[in-house]
Amino acid sequence: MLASYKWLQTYFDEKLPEAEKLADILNFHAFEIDGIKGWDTDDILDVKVLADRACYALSHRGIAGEISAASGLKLKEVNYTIYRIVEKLRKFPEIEIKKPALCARYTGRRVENVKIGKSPAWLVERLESIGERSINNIVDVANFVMFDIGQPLHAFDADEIKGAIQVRPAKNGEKMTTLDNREATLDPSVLVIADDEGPIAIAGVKGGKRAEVTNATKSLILESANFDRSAVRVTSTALMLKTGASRLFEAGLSPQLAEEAMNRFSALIAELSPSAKFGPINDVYKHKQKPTKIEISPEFIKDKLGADISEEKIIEILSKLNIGVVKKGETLIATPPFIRTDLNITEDIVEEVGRIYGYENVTPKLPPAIRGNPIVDKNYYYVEKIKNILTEQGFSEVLLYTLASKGHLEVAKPLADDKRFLRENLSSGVSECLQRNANNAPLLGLSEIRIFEVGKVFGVRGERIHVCIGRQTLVKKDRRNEDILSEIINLLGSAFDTPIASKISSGPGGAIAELDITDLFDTARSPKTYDELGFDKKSDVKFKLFSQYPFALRDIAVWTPKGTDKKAVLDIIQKESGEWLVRTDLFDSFEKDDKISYAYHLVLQSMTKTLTETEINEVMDRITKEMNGRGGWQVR
Amino acid sequence: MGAVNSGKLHPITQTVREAVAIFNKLGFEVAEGPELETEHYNFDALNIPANHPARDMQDTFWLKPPTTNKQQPTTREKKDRLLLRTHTSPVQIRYMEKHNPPIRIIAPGKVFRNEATDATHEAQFFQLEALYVDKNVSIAHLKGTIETFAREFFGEQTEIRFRPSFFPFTEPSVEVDVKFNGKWLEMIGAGLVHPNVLKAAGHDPKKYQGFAFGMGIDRLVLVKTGITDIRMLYNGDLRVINQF
Repeated sequence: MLASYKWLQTYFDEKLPEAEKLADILNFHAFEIDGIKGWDTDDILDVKVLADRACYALSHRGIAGEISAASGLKLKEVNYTIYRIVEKLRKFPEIEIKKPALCARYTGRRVENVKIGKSPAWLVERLESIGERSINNIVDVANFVMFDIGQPLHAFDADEIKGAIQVRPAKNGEKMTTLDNREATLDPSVLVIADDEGPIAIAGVKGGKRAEVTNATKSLILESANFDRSAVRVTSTALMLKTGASRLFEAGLSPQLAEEAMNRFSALIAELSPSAKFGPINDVYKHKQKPTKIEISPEFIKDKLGADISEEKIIEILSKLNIGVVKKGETLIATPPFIRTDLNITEDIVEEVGRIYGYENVTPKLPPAIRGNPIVDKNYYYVEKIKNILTEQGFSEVLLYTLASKGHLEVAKPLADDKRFLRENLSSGVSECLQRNANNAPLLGLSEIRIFEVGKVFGVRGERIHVCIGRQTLVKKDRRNEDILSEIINLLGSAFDTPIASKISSGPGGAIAELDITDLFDTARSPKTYDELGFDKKSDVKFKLFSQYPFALRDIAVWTPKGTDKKAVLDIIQKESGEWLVRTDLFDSFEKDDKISYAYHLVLQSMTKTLTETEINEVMDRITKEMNGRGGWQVR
Repeated sequence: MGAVNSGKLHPITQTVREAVAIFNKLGFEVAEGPELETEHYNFDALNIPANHPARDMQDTFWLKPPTTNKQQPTTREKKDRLLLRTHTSPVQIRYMEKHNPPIRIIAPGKVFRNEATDATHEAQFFQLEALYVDKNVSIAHLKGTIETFAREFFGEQTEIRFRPSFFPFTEPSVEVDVKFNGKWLEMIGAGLVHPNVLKAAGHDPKKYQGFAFGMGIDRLVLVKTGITDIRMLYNGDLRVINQF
């Protein structure tokens, strides 16, 4: 969530450390700050509140509490009596909760004679600073309180509501237009707020158009309620309506928060619309939230953290987090505040102590050494052994995509149409890969491509592990593709003392063989160590970027006087083609009489563009001219 | 043409091997699990219940129920929806179900996320999971183990730091940053095994504790080699692979 530095400052008398420092404090003791952006004279922190802490920390108050606990800065004392208002009406909304399991609490209040208008500058600034749009004084106040203390609120136009407020499952096919003018078709899995005429809001997710607060609104029904986290999640996911409110309810808010939020909502409306008259709060709250009590021993905390932290320090940390602590013999009874619905088990308390204590203060320690060698995983061992055998035979390992255009098993929501299935074989991928690499063979300086993949495939036999090897030659007379593959298969067979039969498919694109090796290792001996596989070879090779543009092939052959070193030839090639020269291969040289001929393949490519015929010809012309200019040299 | 030059191992394989060698010295053995997983092992047993926001942390490739299934699924699998595993953590459960503590495993393997791909995100990538279950396992052990790995892998002077985080299957949970070439990089998710996870695998959390961590192998490869686009690892391009 976005948090305003100035807003956070309202929770402290003392000046907060600057935003960068604040981010550090939160990063190492609470949650990650994804970034800081300037907004007018404010700094806006992008706070990454994860699912566990969302119940209390998706709010400025929650974040301020974390700053206080982590930095030691004291929170301002809040005088809650300022939220008390005088009730001048007797009327209050009737509330019927038809599904109490999904709505733990519903507080409603009637307000009359309210003046809808623009919000004051301070309120507009608060909302805009965190990327929210100002709508009118009532809606803005509801949003302000939500971002301030983390309780979603809603206001209905009271004159549009017929009969009692009902919290009930929607009827099959019931429709409602949301505030953002989307028509939602509902079903009984959706909890709605309704009146006698139908739904006026999707509970905990979004308000409806019918009872929307407009400039003409005179009377309000205020809502501050608590809805079941799973129900809100199911609904907001099904309707694809993720809102600030739904995110909060999904986090599992405390129902205790609803009353406080209603009071602040009311008090701010009274401030911004002084003519407003308030009725009493109708608070339907059958099963009150009971405080959570967690019994934990300081010893347990010390053991889990592996740090020598004193009982006094533990109590001090928990108090900073507003967690009540009472000593009971050797143990402590920790009582988290109501809003901390994330704290339920002893391990939760260990984390609270650990993060405020600071993980940097935990001294690293290794687990005790074990006797002997760890057990070797036979499957892993032999798969790696196969990889060694294949690389020794000149095959390079590729890893290709599991999701393919054909297969036996299909994914429900594919990323692309050609990635709808789990691959049934490795051959299709290896075959394409062979072709792609063959096209680059001159660039790679290869006259043949040898590749393999070891990976999982998913066919009628379920998940199996296959190895696939492929060879393609770039030499016209070379017809050994199949022979080489069957040689390799024999080699694998002798490595496992089992004759392996495999079909080799061969064609103009090269030869491919695929083996199911899932059961191949069953009878193989169990190795004691990985030592002979050479895992300890460390590689520190840095990647060199290559051009994404096409390359061009040219040949040049030149007569030179006897005794001329090939380096002299190469020097000219390099000098004249400059950075476009990516590779040279001497493919022929012979002597005749007092002359020696050198013939080179040149691979030319630019890092920044596709070279044109003209550009390439110019290079070749320069090379030719330079060579022919030397005594006794003649380009053939 | 005479003898061919030797081929190259994929940088992912090389990196996994390096990690296996390091963790082997610390007593961790390799364990494996299926890529096609059930909802139970990928989520429920790891304390990620249905309809919990924690499920949003991992976009999942769910499978369509197969129309012809020649294999007879077990009762448990029948009620379990199939998916491509979103992490290697299910191996923790599968291994713990069959073994008693003390347990020290690492599980390297391919995982899948249903998210749009770009230079730093792929729909498939490799993870390496580590799990240690014993009596008296602490954050200090976690820190010591990760620090030892980081120093062996990145160099002797490598620093690490812990930040609080959230994973449903660990409590406390931390994010581990590794300082490489003067920059702090988020590298490893870690924590002490959540008691619900031990319970789901049939162990008594009062008797045993553990730590677990997971890291992206691809990220290790990118950081160490300087490859800038993760997609280069999966297009089978020898212009990449043959450099290593």
